[in-house]
Amino acid sequence: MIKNFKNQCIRSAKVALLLVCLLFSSILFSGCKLYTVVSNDKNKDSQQGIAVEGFDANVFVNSVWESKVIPTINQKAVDIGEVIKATTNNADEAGKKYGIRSAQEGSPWNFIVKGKGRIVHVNKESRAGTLDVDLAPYDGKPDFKIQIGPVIKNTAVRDSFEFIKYDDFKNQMVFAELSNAFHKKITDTLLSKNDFANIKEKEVNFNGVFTYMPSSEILVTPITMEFTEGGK
Amino acid sequence: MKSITKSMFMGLLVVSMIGLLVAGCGGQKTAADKPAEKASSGSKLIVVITPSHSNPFFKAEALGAEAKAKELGYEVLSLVHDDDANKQSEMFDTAIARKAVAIICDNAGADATLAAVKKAKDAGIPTFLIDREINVTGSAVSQIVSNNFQGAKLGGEEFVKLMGEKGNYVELVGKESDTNAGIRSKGYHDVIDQYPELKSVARQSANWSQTEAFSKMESIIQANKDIQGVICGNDTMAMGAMAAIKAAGLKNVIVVGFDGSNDVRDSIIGGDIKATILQPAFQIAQMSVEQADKFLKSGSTGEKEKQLVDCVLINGANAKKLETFAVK
Repeated sequence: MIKNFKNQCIRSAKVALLLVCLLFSSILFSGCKLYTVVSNDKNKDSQQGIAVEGFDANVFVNSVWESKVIPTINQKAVDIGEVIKATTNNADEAGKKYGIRSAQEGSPWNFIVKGKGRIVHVNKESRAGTLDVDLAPYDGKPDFKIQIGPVIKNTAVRDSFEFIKYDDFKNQMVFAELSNAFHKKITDTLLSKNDFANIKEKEVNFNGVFTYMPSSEILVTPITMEFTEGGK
Repeated sequence: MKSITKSMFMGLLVVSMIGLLVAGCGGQKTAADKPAEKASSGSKLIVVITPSHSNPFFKAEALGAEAKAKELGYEVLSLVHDDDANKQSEMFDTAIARKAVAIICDNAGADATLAAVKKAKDAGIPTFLIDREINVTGSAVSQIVSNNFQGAKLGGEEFVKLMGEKGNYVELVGKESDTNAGIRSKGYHDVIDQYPELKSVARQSANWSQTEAFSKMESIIQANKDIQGVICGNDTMAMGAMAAIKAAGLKNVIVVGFDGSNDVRDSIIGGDIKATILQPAFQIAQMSVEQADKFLKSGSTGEKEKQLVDCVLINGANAKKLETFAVK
């Protein structure tokens, strides 16, 4: 009887101790946070563990393309011959007059341009395909290049508009996705609709944008392009 | 007897848990009790906090900031957080205690840094972040960010061009915990993956380290000699990879790095490594001090908070102009 009572006492004491332990453990561990393990390759955008949820660059581009991008291009495009001449004289002066730059002094100028020229060479060997374009008066020598993809280089489209500011985007990854989305839009609406066969010697009527880089050739990303016979 | 020992053990466990709990409370209390000191107008101290100077990139950053601050008449305290967020937090405390007028910081991780920046802001000290960004605006005065993604795309484009858009390549990635390791790798792949004839044969982390890059590259070559290119997350790994390629007697392997160090510059001039990407560390650091000075004098930097500074491609054409993370 006494032994039983003693055993019971010990048991309830044990239970109480266990409860106290559990209670303290729960308090101790309450400081810890729960993390969900997310598969790495589930979503290419967050591949490197940098979460970019909540923002879809393609949706953003679709929302501004017709309403802001096209009107801005139509309104602000300057003749490319004039811009090339101005940048050759003094890039900074040309930038202040015709260009836009997203950040502070020292970052490159972007230009919204339009023009008409003769295609002297079509480069489709590289996946970063280009048209070599000669401006009137035609001398057979290219004055600049127009990108025709499928790989589109640099970020001229993203960087050419006042309404796109880096401050409004979470980080450089999201900002880079925005540029890719612009290139996708151009591929879908323009480049994929043309195989660029038999266009050598034809004239191209275009508008587009480029980033001016000293000592490298002018590489225009087109927003619109039309091809016409002629240019002899 | 056995159960008595058991209860004693349980008792001890409870006591030690209480001890731990109380210890936790104690720590918190002292931190909370610490008074927030206001920066006095008499101080002219700028505190510069960067990762370890053993990487010449961060050394250039610290030197750039120091030089500009002294030129503008400030005193400078230069500290190193070794990519340890706790250490960084203590350094912000030091800056607050020393009544600094501004903090220039290349931070030890976006999430952990926000609290430190806010702490300084509450104490009346503006923070100017350089090189690495945090994912929010409104706490730091400036974030002058090195555009690693743009740089990586530039490096990727040059690599693709040098490879003739085809061949087998190896990628050496930086320390996986470092945001920039991921950003650079993603930038490279953003470009390279658009070229189906470029085949990745190995992708490994060499933790930014030259010796590790050498040994990893050595074993990659032992497994597969058919390699035409190696793209690396930074310059020290590019140096390691190049050494392994030479040791194995492989010829015409394209190696591209990232950072723009003097070592890789010399290697490019010597015809070994083909290209690197310069992050303008010196320029970014100097810009941050200029903006701090302007902010202290006029209450505004005149710039947006987040400023992306583009990286520059360095190859045979301009390598000679590169000196200590700046193109002369």
